[in-house]
Amino acid sequence: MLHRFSIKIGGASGTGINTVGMILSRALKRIGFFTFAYREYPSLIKGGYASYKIEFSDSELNSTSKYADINIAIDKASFTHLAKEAEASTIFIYDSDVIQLREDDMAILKEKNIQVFSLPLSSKAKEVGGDVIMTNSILIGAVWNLLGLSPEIITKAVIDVFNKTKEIEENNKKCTIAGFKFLDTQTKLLERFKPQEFANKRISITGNEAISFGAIASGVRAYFAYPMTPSSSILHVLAKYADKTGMVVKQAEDEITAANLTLGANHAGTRAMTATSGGGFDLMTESVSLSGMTETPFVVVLGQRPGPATGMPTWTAQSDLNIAIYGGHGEFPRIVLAPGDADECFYLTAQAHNLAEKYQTVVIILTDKYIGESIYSTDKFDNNKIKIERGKMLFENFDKEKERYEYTEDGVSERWLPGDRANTFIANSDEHDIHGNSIEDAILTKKIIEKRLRKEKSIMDSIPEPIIYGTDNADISFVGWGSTKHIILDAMDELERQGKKINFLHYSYVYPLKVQTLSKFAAKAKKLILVENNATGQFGNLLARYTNVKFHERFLKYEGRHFFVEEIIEKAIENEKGSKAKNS
Amino acid sequence: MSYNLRNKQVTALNFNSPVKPTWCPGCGNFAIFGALKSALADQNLTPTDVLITFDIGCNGNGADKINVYGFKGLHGRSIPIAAGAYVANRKLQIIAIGGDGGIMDEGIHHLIHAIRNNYDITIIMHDNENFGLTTGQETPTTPKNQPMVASPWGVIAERLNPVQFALIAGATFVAQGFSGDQKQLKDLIVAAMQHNGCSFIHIFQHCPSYNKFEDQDWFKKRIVNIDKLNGYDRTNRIKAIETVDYSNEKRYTGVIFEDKTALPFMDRIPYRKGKKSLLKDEVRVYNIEEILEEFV
Repeated sequence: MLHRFSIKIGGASGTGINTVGMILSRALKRIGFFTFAYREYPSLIKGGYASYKIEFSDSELNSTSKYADINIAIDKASFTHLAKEAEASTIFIYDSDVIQLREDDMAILKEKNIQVFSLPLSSKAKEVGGDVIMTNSILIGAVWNLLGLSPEIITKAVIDVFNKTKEIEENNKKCTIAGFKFLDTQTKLLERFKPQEFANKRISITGNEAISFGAIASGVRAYFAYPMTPSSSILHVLAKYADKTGMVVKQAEDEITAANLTLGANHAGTRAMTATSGGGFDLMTESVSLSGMTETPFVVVLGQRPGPATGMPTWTAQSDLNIAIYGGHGEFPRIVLAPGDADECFYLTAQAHNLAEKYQTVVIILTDKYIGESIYSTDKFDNNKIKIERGKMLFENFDKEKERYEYTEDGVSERWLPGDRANTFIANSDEHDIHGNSIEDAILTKKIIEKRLRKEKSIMDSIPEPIIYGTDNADISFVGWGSTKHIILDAMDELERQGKKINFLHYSYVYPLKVQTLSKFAAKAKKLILVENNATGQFGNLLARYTNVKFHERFLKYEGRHFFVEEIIEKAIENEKGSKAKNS
Repeated sequence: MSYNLRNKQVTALNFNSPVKPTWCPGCGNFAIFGALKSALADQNLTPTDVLITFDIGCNGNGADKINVYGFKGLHGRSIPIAAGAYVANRKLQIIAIGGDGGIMDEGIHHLIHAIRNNYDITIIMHDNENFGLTTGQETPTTPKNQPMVASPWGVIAERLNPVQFALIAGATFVAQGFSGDQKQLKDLIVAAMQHNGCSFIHIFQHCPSYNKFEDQDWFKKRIVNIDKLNGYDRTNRIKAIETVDYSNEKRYTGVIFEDKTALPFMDRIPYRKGKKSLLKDEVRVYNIEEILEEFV
């Protein structure tokens, strides 16, 4: 049994399950639980089957599991899905006003020894004088009571969210309290946890929100983007706070425009940014190449989803690493970051802008639907940790005879802005000389290509090695990148509770590739397992290009879903059994 | 920027670069770039006040033949680079140059949306009615039925009229010129740059290599200054569209349309009203503590 408790709510898109989930998560956090939430939804606006899964524990957790202690179905479609998924001896709640069960429906649940609660949610809401749309508040109250938790906290959480008018607040509060009377407390449910009532400073935040706030904090003053799932929420968040921050937030007319607006704005000296998904990034690759050639800073978030082509817009994958690293014709340096959680989303976004300006090139922040939309609970981000580094940007009193693209030792030339009283220059997509004039000369061509590529060594020297987690003498060693970070770390926690020895090497800076730590890690590893959310092992292939590291196994998942904690645990145990068999 | 002819401190010569032009002898670009340099000098601008973005093509090969801050971008994409630069620094004098290939073909949507958003930039389109640098293919401004190198049976698609196109997109300043009248071009460029909003100048450009069908002489017979048109109201968009239609014998040059009342993009953003600072000067750490409180 995992040291966590999870609740999964299923219903049609547009019927408020996200709000239910969010209120429960917030209230649980305020009691002192560490929480994590994940949403799944189909590519439509209303209807279909969507779900919200809340995981919580008294120790740190940042991943989803397959298992749900409580499944809640608020319509027939979700009932059908959840009844199938539900595991033995769990709890099942359903809205009996909306769902008429047949004998075989109940049979599925009875077979698995599932405790079923049928709640006539809308009748209850009407009875209390509330609206049918307040059935969710009844549900919240009922679930909260089932868990045996204090009513004040949940009522406050409900009011905090439904705070449109005094009347709406009051009605929802009434419904929550009425919901309380529905289900008797199952006192044993949470007895194995000891929540710590720490001060309410922890935030519940998605990866995309963290990226947005990292952008604001690090001085991004213009954001241009074309909506594309799963990155659209960055545009929405920045637009929501634009009047507070003064940032120019512009929905561009297509991805190519977004990329070029970003380049133009950066060229003229502000910090601008864009975000998209795989298909949109394909359109931007020409602009990536332009950034490399003109040495214009360019930060772009690539939120991955399954491809190719339109793929599955609302699902997750790690299958665009290749285009992040290789997209954009010609040879020029670039940096690819892959944050592993909300914290890294915040701090690495700030760092991305510093790197883009220091090395005057493109920095791609690789995320995915899983990290972009999962709701992590973490400490408030520390503004004091944000530093603005603009590299070799000259501001005043500099030599007016200087040329923009001088051949420097580290490959980075000094930079100034159009409008500055200095030597003019041309940021030229043609091959060019130190002034930026177009050239076709053999010697000058070679010279400037080498200058640009010299930046790679400078970049390599400045980025950090990947981080090792876990014990030294591990029996199983995982290697992963980006959003699989906490799925593996949480699995390690469970495995360590069982006395297993596991370690894990995680990459947040995936390109250029640092290999020193990996080589030492792999040399000591008894069983090296690669974990990736794609079909062809793109990161493994990148490692194979630069190292001789051999994996015992490549654990790949490509169903449009992220890894579940249980899958990593099973994989470790399976491989451990294998070794035991070998050694006996 | 005040347009003050009396205090001339710079001349067009200041805008010369040491790089020799590579255009064909007789190319309309000589006149256009000459007009451009004079227009900048006439406004008392120095090379460092000006950012010009260039497209790829014969027009773009002028990028290093003029001394200003330049950005030679990708084919069809000089306009969004200029727009982004304007958002970052609206004190810069920004001109986006492109040809009929880059602006009416590859990057036509950039034109539409720059006009809709009314970015305060000047767009100058060199229309020689073919893709010159790639040796003479048709573009949307090539006359229908004209045999071109990749369509020797003649152009079969309908011809686009750039001025009409810009007017329908909602342009707040549209002018039309001709590489055979450099003086008028200079005046049009000055007027366009002085306009507070997105200005579009369509220039019929002589191309001695690939356009023998509507060349300088063909135009000389048809060009009429629109100021000579009795009672022409340049604030009437529909009338402007009718007047410039290619079914007319005449080709009208001058300021075809202007709307002095429309606000440029940055001035339309409600939450930045009254904010005088430039985005390029706003890069610093911002405190997000207050925003994060909402996520507790």
